[in-house]
Amino acid sequence: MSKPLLEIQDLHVHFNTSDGVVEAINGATLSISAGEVLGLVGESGSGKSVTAMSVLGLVPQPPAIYPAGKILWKGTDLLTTPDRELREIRGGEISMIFQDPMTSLNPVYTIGHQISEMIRVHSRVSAKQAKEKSIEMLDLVGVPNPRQRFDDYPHQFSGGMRQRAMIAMALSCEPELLIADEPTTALDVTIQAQILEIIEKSARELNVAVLLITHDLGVVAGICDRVAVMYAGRIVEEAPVNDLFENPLMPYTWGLMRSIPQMDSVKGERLYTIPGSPPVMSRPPKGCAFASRCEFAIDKCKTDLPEIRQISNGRTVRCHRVGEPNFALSQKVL
Amino acid sequence: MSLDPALNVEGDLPQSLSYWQDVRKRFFSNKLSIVGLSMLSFLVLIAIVGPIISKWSTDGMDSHILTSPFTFGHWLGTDDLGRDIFARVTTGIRLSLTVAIVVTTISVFVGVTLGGIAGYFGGIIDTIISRFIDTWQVIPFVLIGFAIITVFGSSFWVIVAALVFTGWYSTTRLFRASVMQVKSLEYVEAARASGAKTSRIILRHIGPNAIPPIIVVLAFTIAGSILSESIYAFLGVGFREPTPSLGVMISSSRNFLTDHPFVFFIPGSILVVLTLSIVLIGDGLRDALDPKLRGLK
Amino acid sequence: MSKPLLKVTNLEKKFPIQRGLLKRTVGHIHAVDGISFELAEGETLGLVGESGCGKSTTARLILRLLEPTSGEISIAGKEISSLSREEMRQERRNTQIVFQDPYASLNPRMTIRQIVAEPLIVHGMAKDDTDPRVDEMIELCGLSREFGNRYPHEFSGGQRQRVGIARALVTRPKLVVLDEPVSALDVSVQAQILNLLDDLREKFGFSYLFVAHDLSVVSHISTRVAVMYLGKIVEIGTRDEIFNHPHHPYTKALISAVPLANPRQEKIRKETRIVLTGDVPSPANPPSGCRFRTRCWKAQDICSTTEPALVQIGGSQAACHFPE
Repeated sequence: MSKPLLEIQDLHVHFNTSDGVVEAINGATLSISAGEVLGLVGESGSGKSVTAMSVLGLVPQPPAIYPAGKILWKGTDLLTTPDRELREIRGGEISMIFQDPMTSLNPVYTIGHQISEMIRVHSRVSAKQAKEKSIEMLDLVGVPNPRQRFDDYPHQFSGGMRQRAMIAMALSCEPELLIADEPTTALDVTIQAQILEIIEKSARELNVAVLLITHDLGVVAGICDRVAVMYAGRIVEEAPVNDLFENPLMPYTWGLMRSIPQMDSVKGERLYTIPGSPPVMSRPPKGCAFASRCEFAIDKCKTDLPEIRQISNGRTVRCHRVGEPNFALSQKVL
Repeated sequence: MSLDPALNVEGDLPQSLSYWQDVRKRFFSNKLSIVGLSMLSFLVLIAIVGPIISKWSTDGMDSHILTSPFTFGHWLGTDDLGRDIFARVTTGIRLSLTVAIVVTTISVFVGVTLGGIAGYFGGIIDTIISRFIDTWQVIPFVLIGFAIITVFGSSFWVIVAALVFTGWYSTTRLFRASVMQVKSLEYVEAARASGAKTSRIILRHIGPNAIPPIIVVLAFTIAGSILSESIYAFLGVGFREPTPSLGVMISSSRNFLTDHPFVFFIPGSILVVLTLSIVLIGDGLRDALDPKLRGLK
Repeated sequence: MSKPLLKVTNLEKKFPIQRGLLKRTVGHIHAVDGISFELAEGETLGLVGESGCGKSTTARLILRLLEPTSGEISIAGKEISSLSREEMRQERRNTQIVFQDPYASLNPRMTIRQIVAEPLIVHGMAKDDTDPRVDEMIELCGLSREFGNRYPHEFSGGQRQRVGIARALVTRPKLVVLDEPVSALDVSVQAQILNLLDDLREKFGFSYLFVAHDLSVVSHISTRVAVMYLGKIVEIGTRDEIFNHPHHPYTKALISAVPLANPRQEKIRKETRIVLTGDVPSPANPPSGCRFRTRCWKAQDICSTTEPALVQIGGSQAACHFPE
């Protein structure tokens, strides 16, 4: 594997609130290589969005504090990079798209103006060149009649079109990494299919690495090379996409997959349910955060935090029981 | 028996608090609102006991005029007519607070009624009330005050009326918005879907949830009314001599401000402290009542 | 099919578009445009479609939380669209609704027990008699009765949704409308709620109208499925027929767009995926003829001139000139 582009090492992010310290991220380790599409999956509150925002330095401090960990971008730690340099990287080398494109588009400027502006902030080109480049980008993400739509305002775009415009804007500065935080969650399923296709196609075409953050395992299965599963502020399992879905190792991943209703299942089958709800992060449990909900948990799980272990090439897991002789999750998922 | 074993809450939940218990807890954990509350309590206390313990009356004149504080038995000195400033100031706080509370009560009553009707029923009723408020708002309020007081003289109720005239529409507008917002929430729809009568929906589901913003406005309206009353008096269209209102005292002290600043300074600073204390309480209430801050972990 | 519990005939809802100071009506949004369907006792009918297709409006029309522009709704043989306010209020004990947002749908000033007791009280049960019924329902919905005196903000999304379900079911209604009941929940919690709904139906024999945009969820819970597009039902049939042999191109596209949590299958599906172009047209100005024609790959001249009717094709009914 080539040298990673982005390396998150043992990241901790805590929030000081009136009711005590919320430990949103408690040792997340993750890396992305150039051109790779990595999925980061987790339920709400698992810390997946905070991870992404930390990479871009978008988490307000205070209330956030970083007690430990590093975010290495090509070897330099973004957490200690001064704001001015961080701005250069943000939007230039790393860009981001959000769930709701309307909140990140300025309603008083045209779509075209905003994309050109973005290009001109990060590279020295004339207004005319920037416009041509913007139109080219809009065309790439499948906005019909890009030359005419260049002068439209965000409210004249539909939800799906706005998300396309956001992608065009994010890719216009030729970033090396695109962070997509739930990019299709607000969209209808037929539009979601379009957007996912665009993200994947344009990223591969422009050789951009993608960190795709989502709660939807289906979305991950379709376009990612590798997947990291996050639970209660830690990465609990990481694997190439096929391995993860065919043979999940961590009981949480396994339970999550079995609790998704499948269109091709037989009617009347009960869904598997993971009992209980995720831990409250202001009072995190001592051992493995999943232990209280895990049907395979042993005493050790409740007291000792499992370390990240390499199981095979490219597969890591944070679980005491994986690898024990005779330990098998009771049923195959697929 | 539970059909689904999925639910086991781990550990102890914190003690369950009702909305108002929670509001109280948050209000009293805010330092500034405690400061405001203490200042107001102190002022109210001296307003109540001041005139009782003072041996001077508010308009009894002493031959010692413009004496400094703590001389000749006058705790806060005397004004240009030899009247005891302590007696006048404490009575002035009473008067200001009374006017402000009466004005606010009426404004809130009008606001809740009209705003509630406009917000809940909407449609043509709402359009009429809203357009009426728009029209009302552009009438310059100081001039109306002038007109009313010129015609009817400066009695207590005339001044209250003048202040209500300029205050009722903001409470109305606010309560209307609050009702409309609550009305659109799903739990109101849920109440309707379960078969609740309109009266029950209004009293049990919309009312209690639409009230909090009004409480905040209550505080600010009281503070605003105290200031307006003083400004009116200062401009000569509010209370007039010899009525011991804070505004009147400030106004009368203008002429000897440079030589005897305390005659101006005492009612002036009391006015500032009084208004500030109520504003601080209002701020504290706003933070305590804000549902967005509620249960924030 | 047994006697229908719910029968909807030519249901229609137009929302006026008003402009200007005088609120002049300048047009209409045809949210629901003449739909008809039946729901048998004990059955779960899934109503699917993308945002703006009118599925939530339909749910609210059936409960008369919105007044229909025209059409008939009969529940257990009783025509409810002509009932007076008070008669309708009485009737509401037979029809209940579970909402999408577990945060907005519970009154923050009431305890869990008060919330669940509310439907019983408004239908005349004395306050003191409600407790056993309420506690039973709370426990059936998977919450401990000790939680009864707590307030909604102390609970997680999934737990709140259980309270919402308890409130809807406490009067033992015949028909329960579920408006996107799991779409605001996390996957692991969603499974808990879906199982709970299944269990409660088995126990009490409720009939569900399940409104959702997520096809996997609908396929899991429904016995029959209706697909809506721009205010119309384009296809309706049994769950197996709809998912295994979709006849309407829109149904087909919708199913093919759902990403499966299976990377190898997804690689294959991606090659054959029908990715619809463009967006859903505005319901204020829907296309002539077949409403789907602007995005349909099979559209021909007839599609823009003649509106296709729902006709029986195989095991389901579809409204298309060129069904699969």
